[in-house]
Amino acid sequence: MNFITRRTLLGGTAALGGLAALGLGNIPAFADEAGNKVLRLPLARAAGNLDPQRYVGIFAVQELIFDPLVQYTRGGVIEPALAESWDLAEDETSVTFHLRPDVTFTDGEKWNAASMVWNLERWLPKEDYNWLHISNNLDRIETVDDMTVAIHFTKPTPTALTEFTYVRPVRFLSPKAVDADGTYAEPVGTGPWKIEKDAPEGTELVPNENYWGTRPQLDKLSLVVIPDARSRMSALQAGDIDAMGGAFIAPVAPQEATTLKANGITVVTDTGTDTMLLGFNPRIELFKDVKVRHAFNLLIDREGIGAVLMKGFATPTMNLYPEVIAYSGKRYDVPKRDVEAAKALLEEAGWTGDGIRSRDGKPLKVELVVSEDAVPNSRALGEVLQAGFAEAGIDLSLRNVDHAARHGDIPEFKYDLSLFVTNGAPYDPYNTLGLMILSTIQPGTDGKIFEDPEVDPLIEAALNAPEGEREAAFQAVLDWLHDNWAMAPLYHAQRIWAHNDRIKAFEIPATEYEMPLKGLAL
Amino acid sequence: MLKVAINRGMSAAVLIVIASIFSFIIIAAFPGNVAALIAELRGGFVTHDVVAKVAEDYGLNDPLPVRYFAWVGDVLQGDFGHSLRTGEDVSAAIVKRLQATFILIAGGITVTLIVGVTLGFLGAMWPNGTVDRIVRVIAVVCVSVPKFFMAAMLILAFGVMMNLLPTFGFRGPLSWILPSIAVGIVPGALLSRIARVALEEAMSRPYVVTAKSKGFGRRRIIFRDALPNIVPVCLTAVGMDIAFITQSSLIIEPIFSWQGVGAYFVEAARFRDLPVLQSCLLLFSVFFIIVNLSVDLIVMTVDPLQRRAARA
Repeated sequence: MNFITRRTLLGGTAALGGLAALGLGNIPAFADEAGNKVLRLPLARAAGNLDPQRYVGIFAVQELIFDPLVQYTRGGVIEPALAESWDLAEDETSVTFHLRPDVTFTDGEKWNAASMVWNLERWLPKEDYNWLHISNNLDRIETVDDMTVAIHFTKPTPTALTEFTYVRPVRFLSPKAVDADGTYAEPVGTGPWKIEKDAPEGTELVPNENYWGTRPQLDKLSLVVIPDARSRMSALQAGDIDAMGGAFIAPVAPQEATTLKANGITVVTDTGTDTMLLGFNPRIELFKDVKVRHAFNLLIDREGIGAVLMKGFATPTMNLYPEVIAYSGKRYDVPKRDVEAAKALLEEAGWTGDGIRSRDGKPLKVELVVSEDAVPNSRALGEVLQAGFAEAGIDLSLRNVDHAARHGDIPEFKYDLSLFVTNGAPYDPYNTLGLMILSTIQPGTDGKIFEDPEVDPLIEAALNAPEGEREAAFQAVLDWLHDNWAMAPLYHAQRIWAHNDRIKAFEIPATEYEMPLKGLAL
Repeated sequence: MLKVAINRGMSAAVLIVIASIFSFIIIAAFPGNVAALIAELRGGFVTHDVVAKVAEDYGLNDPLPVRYFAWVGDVLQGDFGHSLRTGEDVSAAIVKRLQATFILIAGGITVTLIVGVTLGFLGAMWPNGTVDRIVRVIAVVCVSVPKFFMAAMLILAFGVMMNLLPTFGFRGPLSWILPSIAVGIVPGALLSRIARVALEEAMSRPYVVTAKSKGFGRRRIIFRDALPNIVPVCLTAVGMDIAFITQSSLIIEPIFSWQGVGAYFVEAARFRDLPVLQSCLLLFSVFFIIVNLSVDLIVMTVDPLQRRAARA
């Protein structure tokens, strides 16, 4: 007997399909948007593991949950947070924090010296974190009393207060939010928000009703994962989300900002805290010649790049740091593109001939590594540079790589030219100079923008200068780099956010590591 | 019949082994330093020494065959490893994401069938007439438009301009409509051409001539005599369409912010998350093989000619 006939099979399949559709039709909506005061923001990727000592989660989400000891605000001004006040030793070898009283973690655990020290001991003495001066220079952590903790360093550490503002690994987790073996279990902090729901589709947060500071004026924050930039734009225009922006949240490219603006969406901008640079491989002979570096600098049309490629959302520059960064120094004039002067410099350097220049029979061919993953916009920028350099007889080729390949090649100096972005606030002015230019430190995955033993003492002096001498010390380094055409700064990209008219007041936060919630009103 | 099924099953098993080798080698042989990415995610300022230690810890310096067999050993025990980026269990993460991908495939196939069969019939009902020509134009346009563009246009039209459907998200049946259309429209257009040609061919067969000579109308002949005879052809095409739609999930899921297996794969590719990439690729391969095997067996069941051949 044949049980399966054509009719039973086709009929059965149709019936099963119908049943499945009915059963699966009731999948609950991820975001409950019934309330009036729900702010809906996109994330380019899921918030991920929010352990404050790991480098996986999205900074801005960690920042909502975990408070710092001290808060970084515009221009590098430090304000109280979990520490109500602090005393920095005159020789900057210790800092004593007076903790804010009556603060609790969202699980009810008390914030005091014991919970602070428990947190610091999880990472501060460990070698993995020695990129931070507070970790590298740590001598000991001293509990002075129940609400006072002193941190002693082996040498002056002028960066201490700034480093205590960083999102990770410096934030504070409830001592109860770990497993029996001490590993991180759940994101419980003292911050203004606590997690209500966390899934690959997004994260929902509700206000911490016991927050010590100004409580959020919203009932819920719904962060939805929308990886595709065009989809974010559509969602914003359709009113499915309220705003988008932030380099590490849901970036808006200049072209996208222009389109959104044309469609009636409000676009808000602020001076960027980082700098896009063209770096010359400091270990190849060609770029050891200051005349060659100077010539390359003169061949770049910074104004054109800012106006056309960046649609006006960038400020052309010759400075390593934008003005909003502390100790960023005096502004240098941005040179006009000057092909003839560049050609003359190349001639002087021995690179001669018609067409592609050469020296000792070797053609002037250089390769620019571009990676859209690591440095957005780098391909288009590379093409502009390519055309500009060709006019002076330089054969520039582009090598497109992904994030992983860039992280392999750049630290090993397997490139001629590369695009770099400085660290920005709150890390600069210290990190870019200390990690990406100082030659005595091994290159990290972002490589070295420049290195020369001659400038090292100046950098060391700036990084360790006491308060009163710091400005002059930083200026000396910046002048040296500028006078030696060490790199080719291109522009300071503006920080872009776009929001719909549900948002009545909007303020771009001080750093790229925060959500724009302060000063936001629906 | 059983013998044929066993034979096909064995071929499928061999294919799965080959697929597992390719899934592993293709991903593992990508250029670039994965250890640097892992080290960066583990924290701190990552120097050359740290990268070298991470490569050692994760066995990334071992020869490919050693790594392959270690991976296969784990997979056979149901252990797909842990994501290098997030540390989460890959099999659990995939299971969490299967629902969205399943709905996308089911929705896509539904659209494919509706579009394919409707357009195919319209064309066959009035061959070479105005309707047939319009249907042909629609089919050619649908096949020619890239999926991402189709998705963007659908979002713009129904989400932004008309505000009828959600622009993104996996939030109940309404949010399934646009992604299903985006993945199903191209295979639907193709299926319409296949159905149209198959129907046209069936309409010239002797049993149709007989039916015509008995005085039956064109509609009755198509539904009663021609349709059952084109089912095997359409089923084979639908099998291929499932593969096409699954592959489309890589593009469509991120556009509509669906956290399915396709989006998981794309995100993992960006971070070179080897265990996730290898597991997803293996899963896709096994799925394709099983779908093809199932289609073959179903066609064998519904097609009397093949059933008879198998028995013989």
